[in-house]
Amino acid sequence: MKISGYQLFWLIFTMEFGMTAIFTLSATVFLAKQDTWISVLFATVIALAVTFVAVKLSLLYPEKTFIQSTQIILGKWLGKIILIPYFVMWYSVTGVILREFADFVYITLFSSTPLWTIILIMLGAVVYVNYSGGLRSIARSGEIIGPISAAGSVIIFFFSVKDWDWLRLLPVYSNSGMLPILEGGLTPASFLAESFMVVMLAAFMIKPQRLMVTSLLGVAVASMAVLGMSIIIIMVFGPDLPDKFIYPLYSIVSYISVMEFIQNVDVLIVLLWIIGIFVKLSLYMFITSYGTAQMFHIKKWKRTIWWIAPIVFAISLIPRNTNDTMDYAKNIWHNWIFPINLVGIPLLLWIVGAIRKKLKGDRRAAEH
Amino acid sequence: MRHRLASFPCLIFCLVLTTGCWDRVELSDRAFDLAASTDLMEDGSYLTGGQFIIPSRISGGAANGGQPYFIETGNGKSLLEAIQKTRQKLSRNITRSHRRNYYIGESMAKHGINELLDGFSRDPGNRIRLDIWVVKGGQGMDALKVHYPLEKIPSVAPVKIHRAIGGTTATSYLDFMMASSSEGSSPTLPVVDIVQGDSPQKTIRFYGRAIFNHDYKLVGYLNFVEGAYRQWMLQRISYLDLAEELPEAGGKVGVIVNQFGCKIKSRITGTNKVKMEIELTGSGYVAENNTKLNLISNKNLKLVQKEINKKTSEHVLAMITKVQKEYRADVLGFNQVMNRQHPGEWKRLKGQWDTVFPEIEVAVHVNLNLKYVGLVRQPLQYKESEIIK
Repeated sequence: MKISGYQLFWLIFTMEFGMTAIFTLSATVFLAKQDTWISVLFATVIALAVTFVAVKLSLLYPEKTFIQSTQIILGKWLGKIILIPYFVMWYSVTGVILREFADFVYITLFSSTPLWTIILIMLGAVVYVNYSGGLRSIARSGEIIGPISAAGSVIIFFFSVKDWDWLRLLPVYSNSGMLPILEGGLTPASFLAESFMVVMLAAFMIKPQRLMVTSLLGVAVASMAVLGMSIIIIMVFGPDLPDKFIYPLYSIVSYISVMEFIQNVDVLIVLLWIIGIFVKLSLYMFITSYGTAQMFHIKKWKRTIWWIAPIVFAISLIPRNTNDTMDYAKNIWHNWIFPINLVGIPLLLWIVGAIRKKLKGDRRAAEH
Repeated sequence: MRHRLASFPCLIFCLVLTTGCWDRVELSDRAFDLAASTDLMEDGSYLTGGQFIIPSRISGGAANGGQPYFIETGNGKSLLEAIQKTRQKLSRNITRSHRRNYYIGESMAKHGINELLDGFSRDPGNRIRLDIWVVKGGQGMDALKVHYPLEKIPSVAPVKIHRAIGGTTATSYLDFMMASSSEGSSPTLPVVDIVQGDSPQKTIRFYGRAIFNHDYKLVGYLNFVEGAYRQWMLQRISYLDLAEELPEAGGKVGVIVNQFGCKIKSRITGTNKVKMEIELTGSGYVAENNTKLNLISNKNLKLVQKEINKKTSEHVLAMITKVQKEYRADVLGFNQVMNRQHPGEWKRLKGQWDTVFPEIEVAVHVNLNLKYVGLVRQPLQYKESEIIK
């Protein structure tokens, strides 16, 4: 199971772009109004910083995954304890993404299909891709799906050109202010910072030295795509409407009409997003099951899928309605997981790990 | 091998799940709703109507006889109840994804349309790309009933008329929502009315623009030309003909404008006093010349151009004054101009914009550039000696 830099790039792009563009921009526009694009730029900077730390951390022990390197850095027991929040995150977020995906499909496409079938179909595909080839299959499908889902954003871009009104982006800064802009940036940042998952993928890179460039590039390109979408949202819907929509980008797409001829393209775009979410879910599934196997020293990691899948399925059925899933993104992910799991602990691990490695190196140098 | 055998039931299971059987609605189970209407009845209940396609008649043409659509109505205390009553009479599910027109009767518009608006964007079956029309002096139902000879389905007519006269179609719902959620501005909707005149049949006519206040209640209308001037200010127009009586030139001149521009400069002249300088630019050609001027001479063309500009400026100013004094609702985008050009001051002004707006001092300069005079040098109907060179 080795992946190339090119594959990693598409994995990161696909994982970040779709979800961020659909789910976070409504909250950002609510705070930052027409300065949403500044918020997204700010989010990009945060995401790049998180990625930088994550890559530095994984390059301390390029052969080891996050699970192993944490236990090397902090020792066996402390390392295991500090991994607990990550397992909480991986299990819960896989379930919630599954549910968010199903809710979205349910609202926009299939309103009489039972929710559990939508979830089960996706879960079936995710389990299959993991079981058949693990990361290698996911990376290969990412290589194909990534460009296709990127094409989706290009389609939105060109089809909405005639509805743009640049004046809606004005005035810059004065209607929102510094604090709302920064605060608005945190929601997309918390989604874009998912590139942290690269710590689990680094060990599979064919050329670890390309890890830094590829990961940062993936995050940057995905962020720019989100930036483009946020500008389109403001230019088409103005600064006051988008936050009233749950999925503003979806509403933009359903608004598209080119020459009265190309209309109702939302189905196509939803499809592109769905396959993007498939890559993201498969990746999380892989990380969860591989991580679990390493944590408990299970030799055949694929066996863990058989009980992780039902757990994830159960978690995805917990939220009572769409408000509950939104609460997860807004409260748990944004307020707890993002600062602790994605920013705090990695930074701590990196610093401790770097110092320990330095000391070890010094000691070795002193011995000689 | 065992693996392969196990995968067969899985694949068959997928076949059942992924074909979307639960949500399958055959075309023959759908009733396509092309236009709908809502009216306020005298007893306070709502009357909704829908214009549905009869698919078997749409392709056959005249051979089958009869119109390819029918109208079904429902009456209820709330909108949903009225629609429910309609559904009780329909053998198929209502599919709204092709609906492009929604008519609102005048009494409904005056009563306030806030109860209507939410459903248009909340229900995913609806399209945001929608035109809502106010039917001036009538009921929305009247507009549905009009038989329009040029189009198979009459509800296509207002969309096409709207486009043919140079307006932007299908954006009125979104524009309405944007204007009503933006600080200071008031929403508008396009207007049709049902006229007969001297022609043998009743027909639907594009009338102009309806102005609403902040409570979504109709306060008044702009007629066709006034509405067009407003669209010009908002740069939402692609065609306009101006016919003006020009005493200085000695007759009537008709001009067709097909390129439009607008620049608005705002100045703050005192506390709560604002001045707007509006420069409308455009280029077009002379389509009709009933004066004795030979327009091939630049001097004469300049004269016509100057006079047209002067007249049009007066008309635009009159329209703006009407909006300011009579309707007292900012439908001209002045709030946006202030927000863009004086963002600091706007924070103070926006709370009292309703009182500031009617007192804004406005200056209008129309700056048309006549680029062509058509195919004739001088009016053919006059003798050479009568022509002013």
